Amino acid sequence: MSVEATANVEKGNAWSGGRVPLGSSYGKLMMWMFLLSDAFTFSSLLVTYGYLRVTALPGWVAPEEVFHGIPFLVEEGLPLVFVGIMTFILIASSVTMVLAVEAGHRMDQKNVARYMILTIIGGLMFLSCQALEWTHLIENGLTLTFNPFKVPLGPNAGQNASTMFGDLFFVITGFHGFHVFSGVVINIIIYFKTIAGDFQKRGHYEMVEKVGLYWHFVDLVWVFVFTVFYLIY
Amino acid sequence: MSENIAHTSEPHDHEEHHFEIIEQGLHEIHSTRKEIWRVFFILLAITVLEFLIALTPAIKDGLGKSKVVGIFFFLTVLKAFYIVGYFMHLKHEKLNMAYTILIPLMFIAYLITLLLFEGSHQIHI
Repeated sequence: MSVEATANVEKGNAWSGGRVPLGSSYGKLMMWMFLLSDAFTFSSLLVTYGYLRVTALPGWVAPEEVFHGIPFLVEEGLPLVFVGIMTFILIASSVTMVLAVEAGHRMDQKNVARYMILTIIGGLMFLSCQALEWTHLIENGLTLTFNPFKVPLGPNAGQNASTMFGDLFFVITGFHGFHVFSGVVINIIIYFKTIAGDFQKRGHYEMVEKVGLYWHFVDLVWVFVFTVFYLIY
Repeated sequence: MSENIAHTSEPHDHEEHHFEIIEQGLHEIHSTRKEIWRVFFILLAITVLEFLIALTPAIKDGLGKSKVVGIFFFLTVLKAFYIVGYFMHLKHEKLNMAYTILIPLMFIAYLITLLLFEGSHQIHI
């Protein structure tokens, strides 16, 4: 048996043992598999949005009429600016995460810790923004069963838009927000393990890479949520 | 085995090789960071472009809804490419690995196509 296996390795068959065909460690591969399954979950939610939206009666809201203020600062007149800030925060925190991974490759403990802290702060800022936005919308009367916003165009213009908007908005951004929250918790754990020197002792910072994959995925999902909820009209 | 012997017999050469690796490493660090910031600015630029389209009624009315939605979709996928390819490093993974992740995503496109047809069909009932 072993003779045969050795012969296969020498023949150069990538899947016959003795090699790493995907060039990735078990942990990283499983993180990718988890993210793949999560991608399916999110895409089902977003596709459901599309399906319900084209069939919704009496009609859909105009995003620039729903999202037009900055909580505590400007009541209205600035469409999509607040969500723009949120998007910027999330992209920036993705960059600090990637810089933490890069510092990890150099075994630079101090910089890994520094960039992890910045990433955590970015995540917390994003969550705060989302909490403000939710509060603002709920105060305006948007709930799972009631939609105060009007249909802008078409034969039903002026009527209250489909309550499906509130359902989908709270479920999808809530599910995404929960992912961000989990990400922040995991980032905090990894931060403490970094400053404790665990990874330095282990000889590599692969855990930071795995958490980084998760964090970028959260950013990736937001890119799609952003397009679907705020841009498409 | 014979290579090992060759190396130990020429320690000077070995050292030079070592230096080369370090130098190469430094160069790589520099270019990795540069690439990170380059991707950041690309993502930022795409987002700003999306905002400009979303907030300019002239563009929306001029192109028509289906074209604008198509542009938004294209820009979103472009952003996804940069995040997955560079931030998640998939572009620099083995091809086997990239296919393992990307090919199953075809099912999402299938689901979107099916449900959008089904949805627009239901409108006309």
